[in-house]
Amino acid sequence: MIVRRFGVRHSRQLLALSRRSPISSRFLSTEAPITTQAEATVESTNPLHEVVQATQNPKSLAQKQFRKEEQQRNKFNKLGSSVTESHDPEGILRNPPRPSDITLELLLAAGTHLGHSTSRWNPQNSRYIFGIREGVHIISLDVTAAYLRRAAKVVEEVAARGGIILFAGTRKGQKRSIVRAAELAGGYHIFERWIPGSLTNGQQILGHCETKVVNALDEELPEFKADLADRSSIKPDLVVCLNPLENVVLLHECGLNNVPTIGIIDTDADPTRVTYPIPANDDSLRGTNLIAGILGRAGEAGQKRRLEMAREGRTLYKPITATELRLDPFTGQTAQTAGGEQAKEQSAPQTKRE
Amino acid sequence: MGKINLTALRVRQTALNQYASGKIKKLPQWVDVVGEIPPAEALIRNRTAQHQLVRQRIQTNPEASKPQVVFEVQEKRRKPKKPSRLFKPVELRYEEDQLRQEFFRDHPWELARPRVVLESSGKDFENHDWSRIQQPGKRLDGESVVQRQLWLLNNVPDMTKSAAYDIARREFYKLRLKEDIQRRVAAEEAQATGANFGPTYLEIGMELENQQHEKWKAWARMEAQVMDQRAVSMSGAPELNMDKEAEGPESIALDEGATEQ
Amino acid sequence: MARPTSNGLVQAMQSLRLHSPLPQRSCLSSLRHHSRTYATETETQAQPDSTPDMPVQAAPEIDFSTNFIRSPARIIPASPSYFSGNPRFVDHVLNLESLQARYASLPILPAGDAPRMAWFKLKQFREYVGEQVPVKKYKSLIKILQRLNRIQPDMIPGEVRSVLDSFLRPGNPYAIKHAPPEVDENGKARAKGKRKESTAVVQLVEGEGEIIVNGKSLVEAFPRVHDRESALWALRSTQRMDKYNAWVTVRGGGVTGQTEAVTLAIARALMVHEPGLKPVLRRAGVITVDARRVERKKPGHVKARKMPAWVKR
Repeated sequence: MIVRRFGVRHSRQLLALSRRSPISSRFLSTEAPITTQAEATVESTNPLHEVVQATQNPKSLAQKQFRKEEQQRNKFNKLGSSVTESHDPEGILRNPPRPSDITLELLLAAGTHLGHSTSRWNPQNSRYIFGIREGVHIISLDVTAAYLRRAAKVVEEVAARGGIILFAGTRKGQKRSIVRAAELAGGYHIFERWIPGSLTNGQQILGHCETKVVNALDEELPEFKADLADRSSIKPDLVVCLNPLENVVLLHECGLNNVPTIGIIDTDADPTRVTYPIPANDDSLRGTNLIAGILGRAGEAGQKRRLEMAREGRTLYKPITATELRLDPFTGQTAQTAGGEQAKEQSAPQTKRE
Repeated sequence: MGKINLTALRVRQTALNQYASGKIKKLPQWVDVVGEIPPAEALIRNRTAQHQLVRQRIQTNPEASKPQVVFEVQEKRRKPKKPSRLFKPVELRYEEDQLRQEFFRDHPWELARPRVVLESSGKDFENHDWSRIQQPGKRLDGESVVQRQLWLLNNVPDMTKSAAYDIARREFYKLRLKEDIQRRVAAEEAQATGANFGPTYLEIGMELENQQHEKWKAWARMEAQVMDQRAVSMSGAPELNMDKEAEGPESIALDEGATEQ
Repeated sequence: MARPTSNGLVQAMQSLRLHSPLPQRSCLSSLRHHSRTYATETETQAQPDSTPDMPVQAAPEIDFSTNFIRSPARIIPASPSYFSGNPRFVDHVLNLESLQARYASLPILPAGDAPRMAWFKLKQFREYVGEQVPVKKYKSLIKILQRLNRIQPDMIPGEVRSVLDSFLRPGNPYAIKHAPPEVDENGKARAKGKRKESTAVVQLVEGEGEIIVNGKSLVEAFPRVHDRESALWALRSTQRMDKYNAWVTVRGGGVTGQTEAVTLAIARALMVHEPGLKPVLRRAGVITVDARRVERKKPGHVKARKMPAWVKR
């Protein structure tokens, strides 16, 4: 509703802009306006393919130069020693490990075992702590692995039930892993400040953000677009938080709205803030990237399972029905009784379909 | 319940209660997931893992035909622990800690060498065999000596710490010397075939120091001049001063005598 | 397992495991076949093939042609950045960042040489995305756009070009070339000048040094000598006092503002007649626009910066 009013209010100014797509489509379409980074990175072809093609017949000096460098690179690429073992920091983002790949060595190499100074500990974490080394608490990696697998299972099951999974990591540098995890798990991401009240006062803060109705195969159903107006904002079914210390407000709101949470609990954090703690180091970006990647992979498996079941015509969750969608959100009655003759005529074929 | 907030742990119970009372019309999708995979009991305190220093040694016994492996457990302090300390984590200690400390106390400059601490898979240790000091894929450093010494202590019969240290150290020095010779030969070869390495760090440092010294000299000369001029302006006309300087200290003394009179 | 500390905790922990009053859903029934539960995951658990007997509640009969495909299942956010509060903007930023990363290896121009682009103004951009985008975040977006724009113009991929174009405001203000002012057919050069609140319009013709300000003579208009000096400084410093006649209209502001507005206008008009005088006028300081304006008053201050006197009680 708000979105449509906005369209009316600003349509004149927008008409003045010479855009190719009609304004109505921009405001009323429920498709994401652009493909996200996540979708874009999946493509396997070389992104510079087009440019290289264009420089087959170089015209300008810059094109010639680029072509020359490209040729040189191709020519000398295979010369020299071949490095067999090298560390690839991007690998953990591009191709994160699966929950079944969790090993203690992997966690150790990512530095997830390093806690905080002993003076900063939260005694509730004593059961996750293995010992003290150089005045720093060392987190027990077998516990981390067990809790991480448990959390991964939760993410997978929630994804398989079509739940909305929100990945939150608001520290500097966690953006890419968060976006990647959300992309893998078919979830949602937040890498900047959590706006307080997004759950408790959702209509005000998220009311203008677009939503869509999809079928079990995740295809959009545009005929229900009109029914989305004046609906309350969507609440996540599971929140994965990489830095619970900074996101106290988010976790508090999740508690108020009764949303289960998964969080990385360092030795100075309070483990009761989250439903499923993962005791690990939350200050190492490599560690958080690893954990986010694993949870993302788990979500990916869940989504895959859900879509496969949907292709067979089954769902693990109770889908929303057309009648439920057509209920007037204020009166709780169907549109037929609330609206006039026209509404009746419109909704008649829909009910038949059910 | 005191300060502990159990809201997060009780999400499922709350959802079921809300559904039963009619506050929510539909159970959330996650309810059975949380039921099947319950949250961990985060509030139960366990006795933390207790760590003891264990030493492995091999001893020859005149009665036995083969050397025997002996595990020495460090004597624990019998001091009774306070009940409040029962759940506190304890210090982790390993045998090589002491070896490492000793080595780096004797060779502090080994700490100044660059060292790779990054691991990709965390399984680098699988490639290491400390029956020899050199390892594939690992640069020779202080840690090599420590690990080699530990291996000797654990695997050679009747090995003492100082003997193991001497063996490991000797191997280390030999390899370091070899590295040094290799580097020098390589540099000589390169120079013979026309390479130019430019000034060394020492030469660069000396050059910078010389520059600073020259600058200081210029500055000092200027300062001296300024001070001279200031002194002149305080005492009188410059010509007079020039005369005085030419005449020497006697004239100044005479002048002073005149003013006194 | 150690003992829990208090009785209440025991109850709390037990209550977590209570079965629901509803019939237990059997969605995870497949997992019950395994003696090991969720603590460790195995590959077989992840495969849906191992769960052929899984009972499900929904969709009793399947009719792919109509019902199942066309019936709604979920309401979900349209964008993965829904919870950020401004999803369209965040999606734009992510898209641009991925473009930047993908084409980072293309040759770029030096920072100053890139073609000048008229990106959306903040207000226009807010209308474009329909969200209240903060200034700082929009600046960071513009930074990415400018980096993409620095790619060699003949090597920009079509994808990047189209994305960049979608952030341009309509028309190209940088393409409009203003015609240089010229002396008209009557030998008259017209120029404007501003200072503080005053605006001056000068019509300068060759003549013998007559100046008329708002229909009055210069002495009547500016009684102070200093004002007259500064108003005519452009002519005086170039020794053109007796070579031009000026017809000046000046409005707004006080005397200082008006005189200095006149200075600027005369200097500009003089440059139209004799462009070669520009360096001289520049050194004389008469063609530099003084952009200072009255500083606003702030709350808590008496004037712009003056604080009220401190009183002990």
